[in-house]
Amino acid sequence: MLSSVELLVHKTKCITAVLLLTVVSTSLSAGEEPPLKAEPPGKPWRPYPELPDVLWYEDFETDSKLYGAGKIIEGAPAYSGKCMELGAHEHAKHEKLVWLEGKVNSTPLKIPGGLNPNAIFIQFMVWLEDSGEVRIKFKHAAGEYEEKVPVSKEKQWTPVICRFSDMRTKNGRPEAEHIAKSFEILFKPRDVKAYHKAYVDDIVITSTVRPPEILGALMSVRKAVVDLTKLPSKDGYAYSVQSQEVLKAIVKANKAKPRKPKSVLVMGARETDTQDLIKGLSAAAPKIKAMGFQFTPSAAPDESPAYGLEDMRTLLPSALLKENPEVVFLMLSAADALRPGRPSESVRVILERTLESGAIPVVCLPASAASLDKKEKPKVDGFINSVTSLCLQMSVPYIDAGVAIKSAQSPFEKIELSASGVESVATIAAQVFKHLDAFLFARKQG
Amino acid sequence: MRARTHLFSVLLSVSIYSCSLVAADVIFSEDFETLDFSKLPAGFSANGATDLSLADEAGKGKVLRINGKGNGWPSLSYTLDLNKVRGKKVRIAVAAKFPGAFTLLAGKDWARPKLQLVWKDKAGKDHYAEAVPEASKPDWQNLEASSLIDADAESAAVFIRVDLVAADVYFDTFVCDVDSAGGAPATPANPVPPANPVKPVVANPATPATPVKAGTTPAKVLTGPEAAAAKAPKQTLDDGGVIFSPELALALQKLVKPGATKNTFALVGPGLPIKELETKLPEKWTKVASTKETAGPLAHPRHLLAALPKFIAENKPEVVFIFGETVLGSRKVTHTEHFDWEDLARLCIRMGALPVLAVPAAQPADPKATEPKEDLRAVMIVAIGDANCPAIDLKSPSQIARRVAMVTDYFDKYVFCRVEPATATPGTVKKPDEE
Repeated sequence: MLSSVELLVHKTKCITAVLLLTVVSTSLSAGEEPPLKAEPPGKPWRPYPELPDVLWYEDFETDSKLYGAGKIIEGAPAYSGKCMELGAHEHAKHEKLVWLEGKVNSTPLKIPGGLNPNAIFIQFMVWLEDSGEVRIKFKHAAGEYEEKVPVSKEKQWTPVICRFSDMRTKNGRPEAEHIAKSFEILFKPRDVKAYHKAYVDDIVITSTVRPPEILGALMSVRKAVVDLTKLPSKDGYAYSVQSQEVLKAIVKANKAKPRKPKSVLVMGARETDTQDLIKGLSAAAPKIKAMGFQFTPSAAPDESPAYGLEDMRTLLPSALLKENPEVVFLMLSAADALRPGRPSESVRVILERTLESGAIPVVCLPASAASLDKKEKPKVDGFINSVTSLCLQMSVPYIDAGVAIKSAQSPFEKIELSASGVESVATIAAQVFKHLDAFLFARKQG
Repeated sequence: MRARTHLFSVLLSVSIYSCSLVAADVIFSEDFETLDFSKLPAGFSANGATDLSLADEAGKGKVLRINGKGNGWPSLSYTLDLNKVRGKKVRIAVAAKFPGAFTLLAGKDWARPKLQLVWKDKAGKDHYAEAVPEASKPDWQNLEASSLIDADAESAAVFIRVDLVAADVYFDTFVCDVDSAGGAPATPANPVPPANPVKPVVANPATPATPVKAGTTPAKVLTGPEAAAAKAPKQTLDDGGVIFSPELALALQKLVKPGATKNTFALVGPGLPIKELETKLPEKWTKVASTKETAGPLAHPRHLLAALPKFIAENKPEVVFIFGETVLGSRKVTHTEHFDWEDLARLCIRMGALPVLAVPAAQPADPKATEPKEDLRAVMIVAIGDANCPAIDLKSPSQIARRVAMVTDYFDKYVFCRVEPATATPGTVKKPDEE
């Protein structure tokens, strides 16, 4: 799971890649030379583009890889959710220092990076077992500087705020042209005989405005992110900010040739799956007020049903041309996983072609049945992992069939999903289509 | 990409197994997709690790690269369990690509890249079976070697290595197996003196592997379509400008579905129109009219994938020739394009038509290019191997019409079996009179 900052770093990379792909493919398909003219320098990277004054925000609600030294914990003393417990500092045992490190250089953020250090503010909440001194340190290529803030309140959340320009060392002070590699938040207890617990939450770095002035807007943006994000373990399917942004860019790039609204092309792993899925979707959609959807079974031009990985590779492009659907639901099976070679490469090609066509793929991963034998299980599990990674890389929403069928009775028929298993998948799929309708296609939900 | 790797591995295995027609146990099969030099699988060891790396190869996924600097013996080896190999015939195979060259060291002919099986007999004498890749070949080569290990052998190991010379070689699908029946095969097809080097078996990747080697054909009297297929000529792009063979004819026979209009063919793809072709179409065959979506610059692989199924469903051609572009223009070949060509061939089969890929000549290298570019010819050759379909070479424009006619003739004789094949030696290459 990515942190709020990480999500947005990844998002930026994905959008750039997809936009580049779109530009190149569009210009090449039109028989033109790719643009050689250099683009003007863009705006500096911000984690929330809609809030350009926010340079950094972390609420530790997701397991971030941007932090070192401390560990993310859930529950008390956090009011709700998670916070960061500072870790013991190896090189300052005599002071009983605890600390965390924020890896700024793992993000595109440049700080100060030309901004006036006097206009940059750092704020975070601390909870300290003992009173003491909180230090905020920034390191850049040529040195470091820090600010020390005494905190007298114990065992309660206390805000700490400082101005970037207030940080100092013997050798210097922040300059606008510096670029920070990392920041550290350290705590030195009053009583240095023993380590004392210290927790940090809600780190905000802003420019121009003070953090308290923008926290309301920030919380609102963050809430939208939380509403948009869906986790397979909790929701049965995956959708994220980066999926949203990448897919939005694709929808926008294909605005000239709009697709049939609320139309879903369904391609099952087996012929019966497609029929069962459509039956299940038609029943599940009204129950969650997902109205007006049209579910079409995939077929070859000779009217024979098209299903399975092989047909997804050969016949999906023509089905997309004929049906012009907004969304394509692709269901994969254990049999697909057990195909010779590397079937996940087939999935990659299928997703690449679908996204290039402007339709939005939704993948249903196979479920790993208990009846798989010793040779089959690693293959199926490996395939599930590979396709999951692919979907994450390509920002494609996916359903975890293993989670979707949890409450189904007899969800398997040998190694494949039974009709009741497929019905459970259809229930989650209906939620995915409704979610896409609300967030990606931004249609009002009635 | 893995599909291609697997196919290749299957072809290798088929070729190995067919040598003896006895059952074999695979000792290891390493495709390098997940190889980690820091945690090599049990039995494997690496020497000169700085010269060993994994490289991404279009159509193959991860491959092993040994970039020998000429000052050592970089290798990847596997120590065989003597309990499993004593008294048995051990066979090893690997796919190798050696596009560069190397300088032979005076008096050290053995110093070169190679696939090698080494075992020590009771008296301490080393015995070798090896195969060497040909240098300056951009295509993948299949290497294999085998040896009967003494029942009291002291040690045995297999290697892929670059000995003492500066050479940059790529390897994939490193396989070792042993006759499960034990002992030498009853009727060994290619008896290999254990101590002597085995001449490398070099196959054109574009050519479907021959499952049964000369001299090992089972004594079975072929009749009907099988007999017709067996009479098909064996040709390659380099030798005849057409990919066709008895095995391919037999495979195609099994793919024929009812419903196609007899003796009709379609010409599709971005490589059209070809003026030399339009005026000399095969006699007895009728061409289905193409559309701008299926022939011409708009019909590049991705567009054709979307347009071709409907076209085939409406026109029902028996054979579809799919032409790659001789001149690419501004279109760039992507690293996954071989999947598109492969799928074009497969979708023809799915829709009841038999595909023939028409492969353009290699694009001249761009001296200004900073990165190696994907070459359409190479990409299409990979697709032909993966789809296992016939092909024609577009290298000589004056020969294109003749090759189209030749292939339709082959289809008549060896696939649809409508015309009695002339008496011909099976598997012989019909030399083109113009080349």
